[in-house]
Amino acid sequence: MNLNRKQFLQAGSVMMSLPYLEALGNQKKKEIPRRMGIFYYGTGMNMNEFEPKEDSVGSDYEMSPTLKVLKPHKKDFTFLRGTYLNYGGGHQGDYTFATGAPGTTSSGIVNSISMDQVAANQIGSQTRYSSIQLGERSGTGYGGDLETLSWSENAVPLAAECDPYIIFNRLFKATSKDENTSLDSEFQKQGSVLDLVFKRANNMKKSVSKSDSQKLDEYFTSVREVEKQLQRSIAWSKKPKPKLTAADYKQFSASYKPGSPGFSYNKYAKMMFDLLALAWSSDSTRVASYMVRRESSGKTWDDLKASTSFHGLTHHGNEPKKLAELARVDRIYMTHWNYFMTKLKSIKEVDGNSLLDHTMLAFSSSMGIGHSKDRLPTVLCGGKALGIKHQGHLAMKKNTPLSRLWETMLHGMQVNVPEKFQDSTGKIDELLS
Amino acid sequence: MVLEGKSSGLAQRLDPKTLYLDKLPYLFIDWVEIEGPQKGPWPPKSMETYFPSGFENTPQTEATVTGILKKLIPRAFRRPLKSGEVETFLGLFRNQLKAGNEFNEALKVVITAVLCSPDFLYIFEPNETGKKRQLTGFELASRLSYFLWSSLPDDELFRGAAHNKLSNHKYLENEVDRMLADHRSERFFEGFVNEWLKVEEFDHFEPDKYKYKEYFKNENIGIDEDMKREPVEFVKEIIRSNGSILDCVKSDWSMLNERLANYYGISGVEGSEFRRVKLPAKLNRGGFITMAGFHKWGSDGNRTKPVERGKYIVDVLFNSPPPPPPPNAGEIEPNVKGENLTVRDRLLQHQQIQSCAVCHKKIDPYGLGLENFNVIGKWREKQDGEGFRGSKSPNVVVQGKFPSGETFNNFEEYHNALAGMKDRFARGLTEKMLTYALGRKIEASDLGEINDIVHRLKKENYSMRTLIKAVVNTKAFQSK
Repeated sequence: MNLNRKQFLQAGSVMMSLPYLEALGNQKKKEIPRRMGIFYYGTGMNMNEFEPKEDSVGSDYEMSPTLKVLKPHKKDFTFLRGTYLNYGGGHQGDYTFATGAPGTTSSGIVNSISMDQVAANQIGSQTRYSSIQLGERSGTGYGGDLETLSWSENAVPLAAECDPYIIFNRLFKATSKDENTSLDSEFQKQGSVLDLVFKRANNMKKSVSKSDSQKLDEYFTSVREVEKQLQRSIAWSKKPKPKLTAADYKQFSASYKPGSPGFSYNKYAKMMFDLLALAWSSDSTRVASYMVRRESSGKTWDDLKASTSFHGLTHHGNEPKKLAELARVDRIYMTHWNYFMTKLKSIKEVDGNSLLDHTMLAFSSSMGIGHSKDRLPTVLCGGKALGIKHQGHLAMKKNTPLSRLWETMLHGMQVNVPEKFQDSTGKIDELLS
Repeated sequence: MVLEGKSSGLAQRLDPKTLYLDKLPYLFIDWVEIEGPQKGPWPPKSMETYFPSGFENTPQTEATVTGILKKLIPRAFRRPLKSGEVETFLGLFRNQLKAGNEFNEALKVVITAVLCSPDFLYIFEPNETGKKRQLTGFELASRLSYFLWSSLPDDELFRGAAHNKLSNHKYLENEVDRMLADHRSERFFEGFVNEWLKVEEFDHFEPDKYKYKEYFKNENIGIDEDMKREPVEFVKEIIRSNGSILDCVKSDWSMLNERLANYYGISGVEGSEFRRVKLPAKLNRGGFITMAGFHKWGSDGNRTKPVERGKYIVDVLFNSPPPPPPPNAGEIEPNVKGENLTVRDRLLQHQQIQSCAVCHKKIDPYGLGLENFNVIGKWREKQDGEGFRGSKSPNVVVQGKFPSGETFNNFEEYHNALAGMKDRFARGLTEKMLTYALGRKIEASDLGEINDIVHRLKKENYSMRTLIKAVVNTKAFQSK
């Protein structure tokens, strides 16, 4: 069977890629790095059981049935009531989630840089990978349901990876001395190719029409990104690798792609979260995005024991039985999140705080319940050592743009935020000490 | 089946000379040899093209590289060489040798550079002034090949471009015939049909496991793939047989394989390949709106969604998508306890509230005419799904009035009325085909040419082949 062309084109946003990339722990750094991650649960949740009662606000709020799963970490997260995604509510909300741009329009896809890339552009050079993108499937999904949340400056989607084995090897695979020498040769070759094609693109730019020029800009972005990565790779290839335990290597010793025979989603979820914890604790990257559940999931995972696909569950028609099942599945996802937070809490930093305290994590969806643009399941976790002050149940004004949370997180990362950032009306001061 | 014979023989290697086998049919497999994996011809075609005497016998010189570039670049960039181009890439080759790389490594770098160049990756149609201009022969050849093959032109198209033949309407139309007969046109069928009919969305909802157990039976495993294949094969067959686009709306045949034919209640079809099957009239099948994949799309796993189906029809068939609903229009409410209204009944609000009716009278009838096709695309006379079960379910009501005033009281009348909307469909499909061919939205300036195409279609039996030929002969297709 031929490789489906559409799949091939969707699989990579960057035409050229660098095969030999290793990660590094930067143990010489004095300052503990600031990290962040954004997470997406497609097609909303049963907000009736997710949202705490409207009048039970503050740190001592009464936890809702779904949030109760996160009880051990009650002091380490805030549920933000009242968030809203202007272009959300539909099944193309995955396009707009981290960017605030219209996404799919009748004249094509209109997008802009995602919030994680705003951070990655400014601090990414300090780590081997400026950011990583995880998803349920590999690739970008451009044109259909997205596999990734991240978009670069010229609205080029950054391909996600779904196989923890592949990500692990990218970050931690050791290279021999011979491989190191051939690395230098590879870098030289790739640098030469980039040089030549960049010149050709410059020439082309002179004679294309205005709208074609914009298309060509995507190419320039790709080339520049690869160049930046190349330069970083050269610099980092000489530095020592992070130390991992034998258990780590064993855990990620084989491919574990979603949907493979004998696949267990419960096991997979933990692996992916463990991997993120490793990526952060080894300082291989400081910025992550993870599409935990795609939009419009037409299938479900066997071990969730659901009667139909996740998407099917969200079309509950207000039937109590369906709603209950949706909430049950929501809570399974929350058990994985609970595991993640526990894991991050268990990793100690040199200042006595935990990795969780030095990392801001936010999850939400592009719709609430019944395809609503509001009532999003927005939760901010961690980051206490970065100036985040958790409020338990924080009730904000109705239709507060989700981008206000993004702006708050970027503030916590100490990166510059453009004057007009998405549709934000300012950072959320209640969350900052 | 009981194995008779020496009971002790079962645990040991069977000896054909002594085992008592009179009563059983048998086949002894002594050994099996497997060779593979088969990778196709060796050496690969690319090596043969660029190293016709074999790599080992080719001198490792700059002249060789020059020869390769002179062959590769016009192909990859889909146009004749420009002055200085070969020299640019040769320069890279020389640098690579200087950096200490071997001949073949240096050559690989050069080939990589060609394949990473924007000239290869992008369709380059320069237009600095912004004024409309006629495409060159090579540009037109690319537009043609990417339209019908999703790939670069072949040698014959390049030759036609070089000799300025593509400016001739008849030559162009003959090329279309040739290209449609080529196996590469498969990508056109998949690409166009999948986008046009939203085939990728067919699997967005899984039928409920309990309400539609039939769908999950062993004999129906893989039926979802068949449902996605049916429309693609259908369009392929229309083209192959020089058939009419009107069959898309109503036909007396479809493309089926064994599993899908059985699913529709047609016996006698054997094998997994799709083939043309005449449909018995009483089955009410024939045309896109009778295909199970579409019905599944227009349901949510539990019940049918007539409004979605109606929206699909006016969008997909007539290219006039309705405006979006007002905010907070919400979904159809489920039944209040005690009541057991059908979906159709609950949609009555659309007719009763004036501000809803304004739009919905142009959408709902198209979907309500399809209520005989349930969530999994099977024909039903009685309601199913949701809370309906068994013989006490009410009958499916199929009744409505089109915006034109035409009414229908059953599916047959509905289907015939739809089939009568020939011009609307011809126009809709023309616009969709032109959009796909051009890779841009239809503009006001295209309307004249669209009218001409519809006119021509009427004169030529609404042939789909004619539609494609007419599209490539428009000014829109042949200019930038």
